[in-house]
Amino acid sequence: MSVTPTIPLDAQGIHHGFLKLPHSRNESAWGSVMVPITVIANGTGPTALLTGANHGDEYEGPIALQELAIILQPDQITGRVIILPMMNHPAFAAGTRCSPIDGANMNRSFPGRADGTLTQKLCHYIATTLVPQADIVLDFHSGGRTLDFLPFAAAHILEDKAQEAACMAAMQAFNAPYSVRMLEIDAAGMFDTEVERQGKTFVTTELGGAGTSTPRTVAIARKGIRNLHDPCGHHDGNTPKCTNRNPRHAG
Amino acid sequence: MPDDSCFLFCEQAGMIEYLAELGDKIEQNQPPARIWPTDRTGIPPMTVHAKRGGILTARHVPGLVQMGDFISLIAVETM
Repeated sequence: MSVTPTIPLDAQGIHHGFLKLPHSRNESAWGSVMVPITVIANGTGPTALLTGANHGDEYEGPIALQELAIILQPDQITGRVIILPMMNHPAFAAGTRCSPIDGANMNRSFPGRADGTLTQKLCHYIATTLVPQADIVLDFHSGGRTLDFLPFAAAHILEDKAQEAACMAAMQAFNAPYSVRMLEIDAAGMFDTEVERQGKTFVTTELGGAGTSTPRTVAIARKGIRNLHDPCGHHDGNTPKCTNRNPRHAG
Repeated sequence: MPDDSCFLFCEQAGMIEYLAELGDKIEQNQPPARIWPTDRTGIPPMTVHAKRGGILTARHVPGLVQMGDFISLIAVETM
């Protein structure tokens, strides 16, 4: 496995570190790409995988997840939260949708390849190591530099109706101003598709866009994370209850 | 825009989170924004403080800021 975490993924408590992926190049012959990761675990329970910056120019997820990584305490959960605020770190650091290293769109590169390009290797590790350990996956998206959205959480119509119901419940629990049964233009290679193929509960978002964020859209992301604690079995005595009981639905 | 205290500039590169919308009133020393590290987790953001009270009148886009970037214009309502 070419990707190695610098922290244990199964230890109790709080660990901040990196997914280290060797990247030999002109500027650094034995260099690596370092993808920031935080794992917070307490006892035995479900695992939530929370990801941002799958596309590098979308900011609500990274902000809300960077904050979560410093405020979430183990005694607020039963189980484990794996946080990748900047999952596609090369693209995030460049402020671009796709990776500047190989030009790849991470969200068209799943499940990746162990012997592929840098983005494919990263996707392969996430798909084969992290996703199998997760019970629920929340992947934050926004419009990036070329789109702007009404803020919504989304789930997909799936063949497995029990899985679809779990995804829709997670979408509703997130409780964005809008909830969407989402039809993808091109589902091949998406993180969504791979996570759902593995039978996991998956919810995604589109929150604003235009290459930036606003206090309003970040607040939606922040609240959605808190609201999701319930369906994935986590306990947080300070979790605010949903304030919008009747989100509008589209799809 | 009475003087240079209207302008705030970035003293740390990172990911900017605005805590106020354009048009919001900001008190002196209140933070219009904070800047998150982009290369690691577990580090609190650097908070930017307003040098004067007023109305948030301009802000930076897109989501990343570099050293020296303009962060905010806080103008004063006079009428």
